[in-house]
Amino acid sequence: MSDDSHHDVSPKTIEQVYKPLTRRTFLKGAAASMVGMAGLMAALKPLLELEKGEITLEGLLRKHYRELGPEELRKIIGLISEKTEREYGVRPNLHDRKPSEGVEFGYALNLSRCVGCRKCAHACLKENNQSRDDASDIEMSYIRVLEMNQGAINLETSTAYYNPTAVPQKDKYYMPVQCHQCRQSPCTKVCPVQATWQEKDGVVVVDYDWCIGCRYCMAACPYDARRFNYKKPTIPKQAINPNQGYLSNRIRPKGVVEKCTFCLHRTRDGKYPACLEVCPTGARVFGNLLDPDSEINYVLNNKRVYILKEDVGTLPRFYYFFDK
Amino acid sequence: MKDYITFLFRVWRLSFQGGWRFYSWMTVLTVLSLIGLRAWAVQVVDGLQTTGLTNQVSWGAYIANFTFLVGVAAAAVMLVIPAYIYKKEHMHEVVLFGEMMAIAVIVMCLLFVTVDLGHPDRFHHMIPPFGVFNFPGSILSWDVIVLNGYLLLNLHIVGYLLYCRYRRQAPTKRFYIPFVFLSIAWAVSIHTVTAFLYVGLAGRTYWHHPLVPSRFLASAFVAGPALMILTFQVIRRVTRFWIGDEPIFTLRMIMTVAMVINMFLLGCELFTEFYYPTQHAAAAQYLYFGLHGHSGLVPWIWTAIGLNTLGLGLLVAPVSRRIFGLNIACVASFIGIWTEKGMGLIIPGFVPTPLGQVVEYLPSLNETLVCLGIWAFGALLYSWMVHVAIPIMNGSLSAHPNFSPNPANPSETL
Amino acid sequence: MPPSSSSRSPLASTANPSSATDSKLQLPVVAKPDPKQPAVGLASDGHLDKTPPRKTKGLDLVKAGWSYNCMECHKLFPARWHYEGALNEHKDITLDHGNNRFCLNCHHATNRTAFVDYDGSEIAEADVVLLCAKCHGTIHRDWKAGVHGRQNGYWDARQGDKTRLRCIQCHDPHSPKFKPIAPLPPLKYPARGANPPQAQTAQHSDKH
Repeated sequence: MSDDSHHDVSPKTIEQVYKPLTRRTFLKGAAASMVGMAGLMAALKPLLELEKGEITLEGLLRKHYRELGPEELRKIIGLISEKTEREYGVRPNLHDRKPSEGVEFGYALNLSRCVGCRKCAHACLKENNQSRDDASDIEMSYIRVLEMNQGAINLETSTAYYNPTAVPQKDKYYMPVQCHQCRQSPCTKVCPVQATWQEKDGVVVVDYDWCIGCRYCMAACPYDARRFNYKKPTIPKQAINPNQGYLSNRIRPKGVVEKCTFCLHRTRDGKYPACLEVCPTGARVFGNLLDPDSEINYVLNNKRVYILKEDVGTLPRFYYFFDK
Repeated sequence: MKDYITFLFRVWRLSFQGGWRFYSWMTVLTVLSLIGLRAWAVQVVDGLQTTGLTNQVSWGAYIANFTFLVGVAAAAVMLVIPAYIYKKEHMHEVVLFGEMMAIAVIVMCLLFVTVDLGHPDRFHHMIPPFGVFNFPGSILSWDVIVLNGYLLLNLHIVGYLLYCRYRRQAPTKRFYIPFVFLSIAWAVSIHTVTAFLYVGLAGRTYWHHPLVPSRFLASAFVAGPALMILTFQVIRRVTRFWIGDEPIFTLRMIMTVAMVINMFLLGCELFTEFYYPTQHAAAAQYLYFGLHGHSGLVPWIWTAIGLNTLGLGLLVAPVSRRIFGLNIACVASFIGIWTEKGMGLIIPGFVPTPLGQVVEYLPSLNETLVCLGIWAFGALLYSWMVHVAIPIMNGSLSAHPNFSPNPANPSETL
Repeated sequence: MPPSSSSRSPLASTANPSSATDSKLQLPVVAKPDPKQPAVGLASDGHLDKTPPRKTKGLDLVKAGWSYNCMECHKLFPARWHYEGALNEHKDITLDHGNNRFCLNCHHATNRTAFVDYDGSEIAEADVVLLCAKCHGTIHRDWKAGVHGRQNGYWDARQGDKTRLRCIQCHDPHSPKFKPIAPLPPLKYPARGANPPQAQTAQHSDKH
């Protein structure tokens, strides 16, 4: 076998390895390395088109949101505002409100009143600066409005694509679904870097500058509540909402996950979320679960309340109820 | 230390010595890897919109390949068990090949996970002390630990044994035997942990059941040995290392048992999903029969089942006692299991979405090129490792080149 | 227009006026200005479409210089419980309010700018919700709790006020059932998804 000439690593070949490098070998090697390097450069050439400022040393060294002190946070907010102004042409009013004491948010949706007009889904898009290809593109909207058939709560036979001339249609009812800010959220459990967590007031948030984009949380969510930025968000300049929160509706970078935050940039200031503000039938109820006189507690105490996919055990803060 | 540097230098030089077939093979693989690298560079710049992934199907070809390859990596243990536990001497000569394959395949797995990330530049967020590691809550964090641990384990065993061989020293048992036994348990763990990534997700009923890890392991122990049987024959044809028929047929036996278990578990799955119609079976309905007019995966899964059945039939029949029949069985099983684990496990988990929406998935051209590049790179790594390991195992490359090797017993240590 | 629920409804739909006796009476033709709607929610939420489903007259007409004072006509025309034949004015109103068949159930018989309570006393126009509460007590109770109808503004009373839409800002009191509205553009099958469905017409509300 050692004399078999068609086997490539013959003893003669091995001998070369022990001998010192000849000039010929060295030059052959150098030439081959140059070809190799050229190939490598050609392969990596598209990286030259990376946007300036997309990957910065400051960004790579930045700490997790929960480890940032107030001064660092202020600096980062300044950097982000500058970047947004540079890239989108609008300087945002970016702030970071901490959760208030004694507040835990709850949301209820009246299935007897929702007519399926999708104003909430469109308002979400406008309020949260989501990426869209045109004004009618609600793919990134955190709210999916489902048209369900009367007689059962059956997601399998529901559709989100309905587009009749007028709603509500006969024999259908409508159920909008968005992030339920689960008390036992599967998404926060599976994130490998803890880029998503539940805040004290119950909102599950994402640190967009910490998320590595693995999308495990999207696989884990039982309500299809999360969206991923497969590209850099495209938003027309005039459609940008400048009132932005660090953890909620600031314009996200590409490659990170985002989700409904109960509009915490509004609700932590005491305002209603955008979806509730536009609902023409008043099907949405929002408030503080810890306040016994709040609207949400009135619903929980007096109406027939139902939880979507209760068997999965998420213990959500989003409730559905019936009026009649 | 100086000897070790010399050793590395000689290995480096040996990497580039070879015949024209070696050069062409490595050049082709390098070119394919570079094509894949370029496709990935485009993805880094433009974002994951260059893939066929959507909000509804958020994991696709990358994670499918990753899942399948973790199984192949785990199957290296299939060689270790007969060699070290059952003390079958003929297996010792091929254990190193299995572990080298494990190294190459684990590197491919890590690459597949990296290209799937939306922000690969933030990889360090997973590594304490720079990052925040969600251990033990997140199974993905467990997977990071076990995969890298398995890689280090195999690198150590292979590196240590080869270096001892190079120095013509008997390896000290305590520096490798405990690691070898650890690698048996660890191999099972890498694939179980990867299975638990899916099983733990209670919101996806297609994945949330205990058969998933069982089928993972059973199908891995078919696909891994299949690949090894095929590569061993290539090795014995193009190198100076003769791998006898005994290891190959030991692997055949392992494959047969594992394939029987795999097909039995498939039957269990089909019965559970389809005997009584429930909504929980919507994903299985989509996969096997189509759902709401969408049936993109139906031809693929039935082809996979056909190939697996063919593989099973050939394996249990006497025809696979001959090398040609065995090779057909290996190719059929490998392709069948790749299809079934990749497309048949990952994609239906996302179809329909938890809200009942059906969106189908096909990888884009760019995505396919990245996958191809990573497979080529894995083949490149394995070919390189085999190419430099064989002269060491033969004794041709050694610290004391005056000694002539004993070709009759390559595993003899002097 | 939806048909009247009872044949005894005093307000029939578009029937011809009996021209003989009334042609001498020339009612003043007034152009109604577009009434300014009451503010809803916060001014900073201009990007959100908070328009209530229904325009209301409110008291703004008075401010606009028009005294759209019902008593100007109804000094001459007394209100009656039952009418034979069609009316000259208010032809655009069809009473389709379920069992509520009589104008004077809601409108005060002598003071036409006010509504009427159970005992015949007046309910001012600004307190119209108390009128609806006469029959819709449970809904009124829910409305007061903030669970029926829509609020805008602040959920946290300590930090700001909320605007609560009144009944008539969503429901036409003469035909209160919510009319179907045109939905906003739907979700589309994602562009990167494979095998897009062929037919995506408006009626195609099939499960896809």
